[in-house]
Amino acid sequence: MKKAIALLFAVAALAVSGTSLSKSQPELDLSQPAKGKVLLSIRGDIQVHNHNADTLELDRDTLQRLPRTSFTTHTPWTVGASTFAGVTVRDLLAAIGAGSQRFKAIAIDDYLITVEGVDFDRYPILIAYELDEKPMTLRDLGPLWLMFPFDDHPELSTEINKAFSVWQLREMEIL
Amino acid sequence: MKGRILVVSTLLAALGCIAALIVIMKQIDETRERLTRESPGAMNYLMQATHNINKLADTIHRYRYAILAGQPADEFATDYRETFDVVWSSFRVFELRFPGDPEQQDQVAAQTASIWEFLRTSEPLIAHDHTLTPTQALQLIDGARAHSRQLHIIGTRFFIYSSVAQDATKAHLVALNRAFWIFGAALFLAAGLLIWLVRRVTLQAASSQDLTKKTQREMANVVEQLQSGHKEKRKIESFIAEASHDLRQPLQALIFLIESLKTHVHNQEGKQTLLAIRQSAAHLSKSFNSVLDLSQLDAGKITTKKSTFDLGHFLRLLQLDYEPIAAAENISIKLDAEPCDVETDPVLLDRILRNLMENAVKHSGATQIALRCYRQGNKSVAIVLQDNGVGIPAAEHDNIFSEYYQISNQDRDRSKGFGLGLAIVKRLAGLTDIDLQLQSSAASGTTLTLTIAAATSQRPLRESTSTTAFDLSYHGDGQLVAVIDDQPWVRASVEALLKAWRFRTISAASAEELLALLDTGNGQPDLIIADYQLQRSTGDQAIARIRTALDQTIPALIITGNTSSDTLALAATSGHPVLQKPIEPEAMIEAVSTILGNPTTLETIDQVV
Repeated sequence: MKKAIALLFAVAALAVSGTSLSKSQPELDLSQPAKGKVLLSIRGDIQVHNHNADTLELDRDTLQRLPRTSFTTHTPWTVGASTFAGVTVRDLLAAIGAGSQRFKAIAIDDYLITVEGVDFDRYPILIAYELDEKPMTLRDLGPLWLMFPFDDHPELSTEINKAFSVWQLREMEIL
Repeated sequence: MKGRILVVSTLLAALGCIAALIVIMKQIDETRERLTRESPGAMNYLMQATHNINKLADTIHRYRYAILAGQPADEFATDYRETFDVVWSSFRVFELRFPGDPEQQDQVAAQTASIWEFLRTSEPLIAHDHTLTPTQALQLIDGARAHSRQLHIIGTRFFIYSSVAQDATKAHLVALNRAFWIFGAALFLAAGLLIWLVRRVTLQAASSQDLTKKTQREMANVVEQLQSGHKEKRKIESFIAEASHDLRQPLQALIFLIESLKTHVHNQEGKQTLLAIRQSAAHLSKSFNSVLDLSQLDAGKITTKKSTFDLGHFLRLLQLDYEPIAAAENISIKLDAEPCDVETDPVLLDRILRNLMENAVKHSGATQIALRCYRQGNKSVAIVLQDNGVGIPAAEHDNIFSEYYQISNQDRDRSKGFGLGLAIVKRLAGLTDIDLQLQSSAASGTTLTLTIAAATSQRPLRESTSTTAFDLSYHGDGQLVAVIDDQPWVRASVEALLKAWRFRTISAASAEELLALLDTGNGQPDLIIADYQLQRSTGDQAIARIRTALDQTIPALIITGNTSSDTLALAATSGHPVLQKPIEPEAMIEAVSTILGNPTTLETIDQVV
């Protein structure tokens, strides 16, 4: 039931975003295999797959066609204020019909953490793919970075949220 | 003053505590921040960096094996290139987050410099356009392993440093915490003390304010009493009542004694002197009466007795009375009076007119006085008294009717009166419903207009005798009059007067004394004259006693020197006629003749003498 509602929301969200994009680009179909380099593999409790029947692989193009959100914030790992852009975890999870908002996050440097107890509906927490309007390199702690709007919402500046701020994000497993 | 110093110092202490607490809070915040910075959290980045550099060695190692085995190595090349970037990024984060102190930094700085050196020299070999040779690969593997060990040493040092720093910071935090509580408690105490002090001061202020208000109320009371003249007036009233009693007695005696002297003075010189003495005594009596009139008027003791009489005749008598006095001052009195009946109290009207007349003669400085009366329609009659004297300035019009006020008599020539005349006139006019109007200016003299109600009934045949000056002598025909008065000289004066009128007299200080005298064979008295205030009883009690002892209702007369209304009222309730001292001889003889029912014989004093 919950999944069905999530899916419904996802379809609705896509329908809304699709109307503006439909003229120039074909409608986004997540079930199509990724064409470019895979930046993020999602497994677990999800409704949409495009690889090995249990995995959804997303390339940069697909991620950029999902609803885009941005904010500017200071972080402990950057110098000065930085503007991050990407898709919110809420929008992404809705788009892929995730069964929960609890997931394991795995980084390229093999860092692993289970992200839980975060209110993704309330805060625009990003799977960021741009830093200061440029794609992030590995040396910039990219290409994907789970980023919290610390400046806009000071209550998010907790140690555990900093631990959840996974840079060089590679995989997600929805639990 | 001491309280104020205490309040100020407590306030300063409280402010000091607040300032200290603010500093402590700030320090606690900073220390907490430092604690986070110094936390071994940075170890995580170090571990990550170590892992990454080892992983770099591993990926290069796999690539070298593939090359040496002649297998495709492109995939491994991508791996080590990617891992190299990860190493780079993780090392940068570590450097950014490493919080070491300068001493620590020196040691770490050398090691991080060495790592950066390795990464920069390796970069061209790792680059996409370069294909690693197995030798170069081995070189990089050795370098990575060596720096992994270096990072390990940095990590150990950081851990030790961090532990020490954390201990110090925690100790600092504990101290700050303790200071926070101490200053907090001090602030609490200071605030409490301050509240208590302020409360005490407020209470003191409130109580002193109450006291002030109370005093103010009392002051206001006194001021009000003074302003209303209440106290003064009461004092004056009681003084007059007392003084009148004390003064009436000797004055009465004097008048009676002078009167009795007439029968003994035979030569011409003596008679002239006696006349002068009589005039002086009469003047004294009149002045005294003025004062008493005023006090009685104020005390509301004068009642009016209206009757109907001819005003024209009334004014003629007045003119006749004053003509000699006026002539002495070179003043002529002109009378223009038509016969007209009025209804008012003739006695009080007489007093009003005599006062006004005297005023005109003594104070106006006029050469001519006109006295007129005429009807004003059917209801009223006007009396106009006009003089051509100096007049009264408009500003003085209100003042002249107040007590003891004389305009042209600043040096207070007492022979011209005490200035009570107009005050009495004003009160008497009010009492008899006579309207009194004053018109005066410095140029044209003074005109006084009195408006009196015209008679509504027929005029009685007999004229009132009250305005007629008595000059009579009464023949007692040897009747016995008993006089009771506790003052010997009053007794003597009354006796002297009565003897002059050919009465036999007997006198005593009390009823008992009188009865004792009567026992010695003086016969029964035909009349008892008793003072109201005797030493042991009242006059009417004495009269009753004598009547009871003799078993006969002997006619009696009470005389009193007390003007207090209570005494007069009491005397009146006794049922006996009451005469108030000072009593003119005429009044005395009139009263006596009325009581004894004998016809009065009008004779001149000279004839008697």
